[in-house]
Amino acid sequence: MRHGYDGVVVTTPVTVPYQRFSPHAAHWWAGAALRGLAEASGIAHTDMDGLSVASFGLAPDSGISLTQHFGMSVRHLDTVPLGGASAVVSLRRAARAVQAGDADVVACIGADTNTPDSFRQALASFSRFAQDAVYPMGAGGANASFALLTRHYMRAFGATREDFARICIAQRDNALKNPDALMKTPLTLEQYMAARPVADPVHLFDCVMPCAGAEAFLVMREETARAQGIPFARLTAAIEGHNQFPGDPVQVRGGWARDVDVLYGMAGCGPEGIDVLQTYDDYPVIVMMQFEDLGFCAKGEGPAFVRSRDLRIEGDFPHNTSGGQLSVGQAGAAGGHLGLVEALRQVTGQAGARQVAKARRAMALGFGMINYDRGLASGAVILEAA
Amino acid sequence: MTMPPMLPPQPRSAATLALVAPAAAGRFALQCCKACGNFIYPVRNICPTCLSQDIAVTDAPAGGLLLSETTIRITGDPFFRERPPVRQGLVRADCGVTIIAILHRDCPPEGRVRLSLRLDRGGKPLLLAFPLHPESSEVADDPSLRDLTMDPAAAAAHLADPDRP
Repeated sequence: MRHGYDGVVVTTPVTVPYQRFSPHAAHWWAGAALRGLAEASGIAHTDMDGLSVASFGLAPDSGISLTQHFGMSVRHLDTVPLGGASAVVSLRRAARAVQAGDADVVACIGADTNTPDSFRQALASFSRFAQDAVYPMGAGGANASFALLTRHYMRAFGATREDFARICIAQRDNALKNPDALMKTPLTLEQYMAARPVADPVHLFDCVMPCAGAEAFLVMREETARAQGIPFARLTAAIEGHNQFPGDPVQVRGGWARDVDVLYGMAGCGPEGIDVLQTYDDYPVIVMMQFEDLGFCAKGEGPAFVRSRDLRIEGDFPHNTSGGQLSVGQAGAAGGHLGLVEALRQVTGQAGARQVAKARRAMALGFGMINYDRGLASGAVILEAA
Repeated sequence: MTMPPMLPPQPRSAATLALVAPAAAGRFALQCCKACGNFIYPVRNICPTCLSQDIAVTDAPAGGLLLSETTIRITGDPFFRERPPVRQGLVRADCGVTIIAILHRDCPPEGRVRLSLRLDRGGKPLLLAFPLHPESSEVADDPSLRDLTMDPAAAAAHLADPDRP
């Protein structure tokens, strides 16, 4: 039986509004997020004694350099190089640190910049296996990797492009209530179907738009949040898994499937107890896998699930209420923080026009690192209203 | 001034250069663990099955099952951007490893294929997959593959040393 996260809370959802391209370094974006945390919490950055940062763009720096760059003296320092799973992993590690008293207030930041060529460079040198055995075979990047998974999923489970469209269109509808979203206009089924192919069967609106931006939150003990007088959510459950199910010939599930029972066991609820869900949505096929792997429907029933549920904020299955990466944009390694920060907003009643009624329990998921033929890293957290 | 010909993406791990020699000779060979006999791909420094580091490049059965495929129509890479879309597939090789390969234009969307190790235009290893029918399918009958590969017989010199790349 795993130890719970008793006494650990998450506070202060911060988004630094995204830009398609930015002349600023990733440090600029991370620093802006840190300032946002300090302003919103009333805790000076010099009083935060933990820093956990995720970014693809800090080289040659890592978290240690940022302590000096930002003028912080910390007891807990983490650089989490896990792409879309970084937010969940940052939170898990920070939670144990504050629970044990190793640190009191940990700033968790996901930040990246985007210049016209930075995305291509990141793809070309993403991993050794990618450099040796993927990129030279056509330089398709993540689009091609997910195209292979998508084609296989469509064949195996009868999913159609129209099914994926439901996810993308509902998220675009949600994004119209988010002033920070880069996508500002509705998406119709006709537009989705007519979009240009990128790597068949992946078309333009199945892909996230790389951009610059940052997301952040604070992790502390409940008494610290109460003393500070800031809204907080309890962390009730968290799992992570890496390179799970290596024997699956093609990826049809993420690491969540292995420990999903642990996740719900810790939270004391089942899938029906989740009021709002933030999946990791770099491509809609992986959203469908998360619906299945987290038990909202059985494996292979993702297509039927999206046909029968309304995924909008006001729908019967509120999902990716910010608009998700598909409509807000993907700020590099902050992509996984987007959903976690939105989950925190929802259960602390700070989601504004996007607020889901009676959102007491939210799940946020992370997924990332297509090292070769599949995403290796996955994670999940459940946040509960105080 | 004549611009030098653009090369495909060149960086590879030092270990992967061990595939250059069989590629130049037209042999389908991959790393194989001498301790447990399992084939290994992508190229590693250690066997993921038994953690032996006694690994040798060995001729492998070339058959495989194409599990999924795509056509890459948009890329930011300067070499591939100037070329027609590349068909790419995920192949479960009969020798037990998973290979991402460039597909010959006549490969069926799924089913059996024949794998091949070739040199790209920069002299680095490239994985290709050919249809079983016709058996005679070759690089020469797909203009795209012809454009992506290099025949070492036409090269004046071709040297590679995986220990001193």
